[in-house]
Amino acid sequence: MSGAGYQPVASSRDLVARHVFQACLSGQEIALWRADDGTVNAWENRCPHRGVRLSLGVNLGDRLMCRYHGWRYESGSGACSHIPAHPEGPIPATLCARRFLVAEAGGLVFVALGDDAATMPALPEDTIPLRALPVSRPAEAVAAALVEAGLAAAAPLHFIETQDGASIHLLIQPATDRTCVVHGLAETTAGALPLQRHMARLMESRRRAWEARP
Amino acid sequence: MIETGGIDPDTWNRWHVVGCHDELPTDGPRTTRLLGRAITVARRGAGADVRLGDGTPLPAQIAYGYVWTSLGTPGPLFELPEYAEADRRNLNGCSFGVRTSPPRAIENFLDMAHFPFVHTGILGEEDHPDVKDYDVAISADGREVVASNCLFYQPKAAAASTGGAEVSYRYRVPHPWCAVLYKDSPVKPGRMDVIALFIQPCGEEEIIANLALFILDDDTPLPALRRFQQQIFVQDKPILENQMPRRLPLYPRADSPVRADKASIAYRRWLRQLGTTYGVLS
Ligand code: FES
Ligand SMILES: [Fe+2]
Repeated sequence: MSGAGYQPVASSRDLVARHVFQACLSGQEIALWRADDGTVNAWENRCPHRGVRLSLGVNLGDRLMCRYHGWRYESGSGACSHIPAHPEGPIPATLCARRFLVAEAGGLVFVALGDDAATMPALPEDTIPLRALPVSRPAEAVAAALVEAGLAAAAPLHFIETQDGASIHLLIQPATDRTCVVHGLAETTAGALPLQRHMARLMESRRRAWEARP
Repeated sequence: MIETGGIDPDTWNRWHVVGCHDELPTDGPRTTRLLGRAITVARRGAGADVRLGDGTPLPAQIAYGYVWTSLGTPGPLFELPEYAEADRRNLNGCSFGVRTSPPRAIENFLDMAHFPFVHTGILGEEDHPDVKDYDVAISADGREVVASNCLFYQPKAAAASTGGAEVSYRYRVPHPWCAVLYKDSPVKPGRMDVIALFIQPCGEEEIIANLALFILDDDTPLPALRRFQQQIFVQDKPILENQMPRRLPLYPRADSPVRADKASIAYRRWLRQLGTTYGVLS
């Protein structure tokens, strides 16, 4: 899984206070949650104790509590800090939620599944996020269609086009091996709303065409 | 001879539950699934007729109020003597389809540590989450796992409970997909209610969980008894359906058990001894 670098998994707006968001990147389920201090956590969506999805858990602001047996995992380190069945402890130091590298930029949340020195996609300074578009086609098929449509590729899953005079970055999140999500960022400050609407319509019609292919 | 399709001999040659006898339709067979195959179950007076989808007859017996069948050559079914005690009410509390493997459901049934978080205010309370040490063993003949001397604080241990109490529990697992719980009766001091989980293994990741009650409670009306069991089971269902992987991992370090999980550790060890490969990851 190395080499893919940071890939988009959610919009920053998906991580509302005290919520746990479920994302999927290349078949890997991820529990994403923002602590009260702003820290974004991206953990394997599976409690190390008995495998329950952490996205069912409770975001306590600085810890995440698993729904099954109430084990708590600390924001940041992912370390297990409380096992209610044995309040006296001790808790093995290695007991920890499995963490992924995570970063936020341009209103999107990015995760790198590999532990290597992951790189962030090159993005402009001022952008507004467009509506994310889930597509029932593999990421590679959508990328091929965008190449075919003549868009410039900045990276295998990162395209740039110009619409209404604004440059638009399209970043493809491979979700499963059959589905992907296209995240858009528009480099603009003025006329945001009409552009967002235009892009929503354009991307909807593209999706219809992609999904109609055999 | 039916083609086993690679199902392990222990699973193949066991009796498996395929429904509550009382609830069988009177106007024809019921179609259901067992170990990935379509079967039909028909009422025949006090007995039942069970067949594979192609009409091949299967062995059938009625025990503890349920219909049991087998695809292989089964030995005797486990004993549950309390069923025959004259002062018990025996009934099917509820039956639920769940997208999980049979052993995940058994492990959940053996687990006290989840009561305060999943059955809050009924079987547990967040301020009493500690699981005291208990005993667990695989019986000398290797036929069952027993956990005893379990103590847990419960705000409402049964439909007939009038308040919170420290309740003592004992568990038996006499069949890989059946578990029996003995807990203090709130009505008759010194006696124990018996609640059993009989799992119909429809597929490796697809079960029907039957909760059987053999209880010392003559007063609580049937709908209230059923409601109590259903209320508890609907709290477990979303947990079971969100455990990953769905099959129970038997290999070492698959996850992180603690002392409270002694019963589940012994259960996994027992499944390895039996050579069970159905519904597990080895
Ligand atoms: S599975 Fe998460 S605390 Fe037990
Ligand atoms: Fe439960």
